[in-house]
Amino acid sequence: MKKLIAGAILLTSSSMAFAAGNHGPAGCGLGSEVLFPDASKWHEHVLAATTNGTSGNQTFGMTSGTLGCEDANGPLTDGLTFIDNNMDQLAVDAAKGQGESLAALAEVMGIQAQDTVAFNSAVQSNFDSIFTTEGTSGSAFEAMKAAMAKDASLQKYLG
Amino acid sequence: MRRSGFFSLLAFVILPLSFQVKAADMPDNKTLDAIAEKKQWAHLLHYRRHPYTFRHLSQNDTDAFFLAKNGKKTLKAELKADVAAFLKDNMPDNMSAQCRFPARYAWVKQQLPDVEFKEQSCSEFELWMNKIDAHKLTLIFPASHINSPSSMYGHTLIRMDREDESRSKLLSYSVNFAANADPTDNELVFSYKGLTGGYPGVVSVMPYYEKTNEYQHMEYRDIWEYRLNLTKSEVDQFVRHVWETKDTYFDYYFFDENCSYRLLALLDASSERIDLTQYFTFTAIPVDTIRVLQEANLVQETHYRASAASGLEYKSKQTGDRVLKVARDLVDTDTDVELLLAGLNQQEQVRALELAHAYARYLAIKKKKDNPELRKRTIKLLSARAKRPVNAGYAEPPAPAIRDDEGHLSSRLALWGGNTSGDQGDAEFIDLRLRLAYHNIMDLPDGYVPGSQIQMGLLNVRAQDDGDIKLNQLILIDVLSLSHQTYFQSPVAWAVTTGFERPNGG
Repeated sequence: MKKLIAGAILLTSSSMAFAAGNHGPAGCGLGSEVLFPDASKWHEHVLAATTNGTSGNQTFGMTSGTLGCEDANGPLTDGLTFIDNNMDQLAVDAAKGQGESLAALAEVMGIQAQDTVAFNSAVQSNFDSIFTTEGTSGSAFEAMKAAMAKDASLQKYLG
Repeated sequence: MRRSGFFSLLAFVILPLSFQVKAADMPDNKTLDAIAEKKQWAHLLHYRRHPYTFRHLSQNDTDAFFLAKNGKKTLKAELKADVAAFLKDNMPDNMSAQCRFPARYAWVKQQLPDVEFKEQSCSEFELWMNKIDAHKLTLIFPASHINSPSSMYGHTLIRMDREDESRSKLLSYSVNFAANADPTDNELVFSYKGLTGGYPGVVSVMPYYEKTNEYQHMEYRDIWEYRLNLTKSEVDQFVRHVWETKDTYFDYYFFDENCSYRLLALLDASSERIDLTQYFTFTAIPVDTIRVLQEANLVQETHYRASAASGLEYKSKQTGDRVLKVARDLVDTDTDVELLLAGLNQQEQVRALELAHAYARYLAIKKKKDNPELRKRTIKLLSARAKRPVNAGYAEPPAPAIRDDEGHLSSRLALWGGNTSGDQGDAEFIDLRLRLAYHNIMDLPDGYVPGSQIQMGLLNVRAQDDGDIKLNQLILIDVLSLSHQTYFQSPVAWAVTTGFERPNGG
């Protein structure tokens, strides 16, 4: 029992980067999530949730921008992180052209109030290129940026 | 003679100067002891009088939470050690005890206004605190979900909201206390360890969207949000105290030291005016922890978030049979999507597509096995939806008139009287019935999931007029899940009871 605890504490102090599941060999591991992941992956997650266990590292809200992701610490990296964690909900909102997750993504990317309608519209009309069966959150993000680049009012958010 | 006199005079002046800061600033024992006896110090250290052993000690089980060697057992020793550590000057960035225990430091400074503490640099903590950017606290209650026994008591966590209400709540950070369980443990081991403190409980901080994704969209649990009326300085103290729990753990006990209890303890530590863990000695049922917050006038307003399942059901009621059928066929068959939608007008098409998507997700989660075909189909449905830039015009599920915390209370003691007639003739009796928790389907339904029953600690003792006293019923746990079928959902109803029951007349 002591070993498990010691192991957990060791993990918590060394993995301050961000939430469990986003550690990849590249250091950040961003951009590798898929749309509607396999149910078997979900099963463990749901089990952990229903029995009120974390069965994972203690996270403490230290998100991207520290420990290995220093190259791009800003709205664009935050945007990719958000997409990584909210692919499914974003797909639903994108299909409808509006929604809470889509609004949150707009906020993360620094899109101002007067441009959110254009943003929603751009994402909805480019749904097929952004959300694909074989794609990842990385390819979704690239496609989304490409869609934004086509709109005069959204280009300024691409840095 | 004069020279040595001069030097000795100099030495007399110089030497005490190097000690001057510490010796003069460190308050005397009498002052410190008085402060250590204050309730708020015990709150900051999570001290509690143990209900079974009556020992008074901290519930935190990590050495790193204490600076004094016997800090876990002695409030005075811990205070002394902390004050001495806070007084240390010229510490490297992030190394001072002020950075490790910012909430204690803030409170201690208030208790010792005449002591000159030197502020040390804590850049890591400042960065974290600024990122959290908390101005208000909201208690989040993912309510119970029928067909899920382990979630029946619900769960609570706290969301730290930013100042601007128009900013997305999904991006606010939330604080969650949970058992850090071994993922390889099976359900039985998990239940046993969860009940007996076999897992360390840890405080975690994560964006709120991680929780809504889990509870609202995957587990299909409605969420109640209770905005608390803590002031900004109380909120700041709460956030500082959360930082203090980092890399430490509290043994998790399902009954009394669970998620809801620990959250109340964190709130107790944030403010002198909050003192709520005192009401929970042997058990802490989540909904009861919400009730004490209400009674202490700490709740400002409430907000309801319907789960994806509630959304699906409510929206199907707004839809005619023809559209419902198309919605089902869109998922259950692999007929071309446009073909299926052909007979409907544009708004009907959009409604059918949204229902179909919700139904597909429900199937994916329920079946818990890989289904690449369903996945492809789901994406096709969304793609078809995206090509129709109109609103479906659905009304969102309204907040239920009665909240979960407004239902009947958790424990019940009842007295029954009556008369039995049988082979041995007539007898009068009195029954004493105790139920520790929680809800029976014959109880007043408001605030509870219909058809959902969970009872723990059911005791039924009968005394007859001839002096005979019998234990008629002792139920440890009794669960009944009478989930009903709807157009889209067909859950299985089930029941499990374990205990002792004497048959009538036995």
